[in-house]
Amino acid sequence: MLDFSEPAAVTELRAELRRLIDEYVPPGFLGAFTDDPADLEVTEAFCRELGQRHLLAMAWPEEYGGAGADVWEQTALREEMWVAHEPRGAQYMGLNWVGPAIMRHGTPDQKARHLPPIARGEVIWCQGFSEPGAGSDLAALRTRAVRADRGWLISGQKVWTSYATMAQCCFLLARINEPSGRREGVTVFLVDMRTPGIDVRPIPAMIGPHHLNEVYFDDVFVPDTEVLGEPGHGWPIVLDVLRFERIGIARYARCEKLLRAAPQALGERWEELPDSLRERWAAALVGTRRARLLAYRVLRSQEGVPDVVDTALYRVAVTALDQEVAELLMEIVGHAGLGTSDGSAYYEMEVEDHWRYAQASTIASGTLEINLQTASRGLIP
Amino acid sequence: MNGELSPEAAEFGAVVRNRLEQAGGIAVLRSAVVDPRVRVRAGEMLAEVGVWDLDPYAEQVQLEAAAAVVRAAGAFAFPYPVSERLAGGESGALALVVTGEGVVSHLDLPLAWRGVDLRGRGHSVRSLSAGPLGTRLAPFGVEAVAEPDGSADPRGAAVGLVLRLWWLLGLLETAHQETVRYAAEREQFGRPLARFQAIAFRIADGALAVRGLEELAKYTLWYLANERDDALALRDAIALWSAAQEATDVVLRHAIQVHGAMGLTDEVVVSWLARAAQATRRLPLDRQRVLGLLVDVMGPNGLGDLGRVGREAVEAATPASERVVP
Repeated sequence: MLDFSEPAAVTELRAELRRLIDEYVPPGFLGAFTDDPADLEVTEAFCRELGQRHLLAMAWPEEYGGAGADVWEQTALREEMWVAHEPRGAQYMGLNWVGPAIMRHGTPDQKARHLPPIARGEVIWCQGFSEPGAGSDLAALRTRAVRADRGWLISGQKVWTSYATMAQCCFLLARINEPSGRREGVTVFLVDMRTPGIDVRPIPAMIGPHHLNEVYFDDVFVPDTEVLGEPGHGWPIVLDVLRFERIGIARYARCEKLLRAAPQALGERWEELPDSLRERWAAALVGTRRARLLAYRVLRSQEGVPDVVDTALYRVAVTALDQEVAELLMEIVGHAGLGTSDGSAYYEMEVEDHWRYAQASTIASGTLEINLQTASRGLIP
Repeated sequence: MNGELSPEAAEFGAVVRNRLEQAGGIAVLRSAVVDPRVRVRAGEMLAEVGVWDLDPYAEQVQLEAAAAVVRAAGAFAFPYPVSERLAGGESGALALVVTGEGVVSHLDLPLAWRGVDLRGRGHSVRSLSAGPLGTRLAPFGVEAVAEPDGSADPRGAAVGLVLRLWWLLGLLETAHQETVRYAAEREQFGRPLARFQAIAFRIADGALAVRGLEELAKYTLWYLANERDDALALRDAIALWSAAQEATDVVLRHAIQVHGAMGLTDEVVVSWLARAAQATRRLPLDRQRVLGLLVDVMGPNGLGDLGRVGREAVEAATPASERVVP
């Protein structure tokens, strides 16, 4: 029988998270990645607090410092965090997919060294995947790892690498054979970003600081103990990671929050809007619900086997929604969406931030076109 | 969290689907367009498998079974007011109307018709002509006039609306399947249409529209069964309707385009489905007016929190200090 009721434990968890956000996240917070270093400090303090309450890595099994939370508690956590402009900062990557990948493919030694710091919120990871010649076609990556004494020497260039300036570790893809090897030869390395030979260069961009960087590797030594899985057989790990990453951000949750807040934020101006804007607002609320339900459809199947088509279609829905809502909210708030000198205009600042960040949603972690291709391949006999 | 209909409901839907397939599937629609009297036999067919014994106002499992039945009927655009009769209960058939003149599908069939508008106000409904329009887009549409009768039936409006949207869901599922089949079979430039990315992306868009509607339809059905506040149940039904209208446009546009000129002809199923969908898609209100209605019934609080029923949904969504409705 159909049952969409929210479990009591999930409702309680949401309430607890909202209380913690009220307490630790100052009003006007727009995420860790701004020009103000104080925002980074907010996330560090917030993560420590979550870590102490076993809420940071709550999705993880207890043996790795988690709370063994079920899929719906994890979902509530992702939603509540994204609604509040992700006060976990860059930690979500380590928690969402780096940690789980190490749990599934790592040696006991790798688990012991890497998982506890992630669970405590003490380490930031970046993802060394994309390269100038390997974007959507990730298997075209050319970064090379050549054999050295008890390890590997890595050379190459990564690009679009989020948080690389602040990361202590990198989940890096390199190949141990010729580029023609495509998926064969791809190897996952767990790289200490302090290793000599690594050069990080920020890329200025409309989405703000820290999101995009270039990372150069010049004969960077990585010991054998930091190869995840077998050398040359990293591609299945990549697929695993991409699947986890694609359900990742609960974009629909912030869309819903901003849409719902619009009438209150606009006050009397709400009634003065053209009917057509309020009608688009209503349609967007329904679209937001649809995206959330499509996410839940994928998550229900995750209890068994995640459906590749459902996952890709969800991504299409939620990323398109993110941009539609961004556009609509900009029209609703008018010129203040371009920026305002009124420091109390937090809603307008949220809308401005959302619009800029939404420009990346149909590109990051699998483009819209790649998701459409993945879905259609699964749909057509 | 469970996204599956109860086994009994799904089984009932499968039985009805089998029965309609045996009767000829879409051929029943074709013959009813030629001879509208076929619809009387169509209703008897559903009676034979016990459809009219269902009470969608009783427990959730019966509502789910009713939804499964109308979805099966929608799969063939079965020419009978299945959702209207189920929502009408023992008293007859419940039509969704607007006050004044309009068009009501199948109003000429000998059932005890009454009407309800989308605010839940009861209406009397009277035909303005002896028989159906017989047009290509509304072969069974009857010009009618509806007048408020002072009664109220918001629950009926919600049940009737949600069930007819399950009919539309069944129709769109068939249209999408037919489109995928055609794109895989039809060859141009030496390869199947589906191998062209522009076509493949239309198919992905269609699948998203169908699956998104399916999830919303399931959610709204659950909400309808569990929400005691009829106004809130009707609000969510209207939200589902706006989504169904959009999905209809996406799925059928792609279906006809992928079929090319063939999609316009009486030879292919999608052409019949595209026509049959229009009355359900557009009556008694088209999409822009439905969105206007949705703005009114939602008020500034929007839709409630997913997975919560009653006032707690509104209260959980909005801090007490910001609540518009005290």
